[in-house]
Amino acid sequence: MTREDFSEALLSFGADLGRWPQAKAEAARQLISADAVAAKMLADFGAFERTIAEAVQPPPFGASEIGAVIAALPEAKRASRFSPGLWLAGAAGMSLLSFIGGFLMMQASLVTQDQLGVPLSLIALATGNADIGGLL
Amino acid sequence: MRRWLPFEDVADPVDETPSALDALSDRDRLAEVRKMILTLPEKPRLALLLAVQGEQSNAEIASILGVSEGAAEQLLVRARRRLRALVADQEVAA
Repeated sequence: MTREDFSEALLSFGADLGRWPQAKAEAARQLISADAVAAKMLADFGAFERTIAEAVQPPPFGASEIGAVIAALPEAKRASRFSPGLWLAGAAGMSLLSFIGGFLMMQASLVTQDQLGVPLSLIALATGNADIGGLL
Repeated sequence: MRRWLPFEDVADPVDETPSALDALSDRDRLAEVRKMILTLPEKPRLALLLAVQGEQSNAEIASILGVSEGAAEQLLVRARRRLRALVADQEVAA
């Protein structure tokens, strides 16, 4: 790889050799290990990229454009991304199920008058909870 | 009797930390770079933002923009070449 090839590849793939095609990255590594000028080109391009990255942070810059592009991605590509709305819906669903389950259990555990075998009014009288109109 | 030291003869200590003015000039410089990015044509600008801000690969950028991978590379080359020239001009002028 020549310096010119290296310069073009920097413009195409950026300063992170890990994101280059493997063969080109290997050729670039050989070049910069043998050529101090090429090594400086890489360092300078890295500084240039860091400047761009700092300039576009924090995210509001360009976020609307990127958001529109990401929103247009096929559903399958977005499925793996974290979705707060989905988590909230799941939590709400679990809460509702818990409430219904609790209500049903409470209903099942209530004792009816038929099951008691004695009128509820007698139990109320025995426990002092009946209103007997001042007869006693 | 209290003895006063001749403070006026002592040099002020040098503060190596960046001043607020230095930080301001950095912010100004980055604001200029932001303006430069906005001068780029739409597709090269989007390709660059996807690469820098979205950390997307060239293949992913091609897929998102609906172009071939070679075309995405050319968009990035145009954006980076133009921006590098603008930044270099700014540094010469500063």
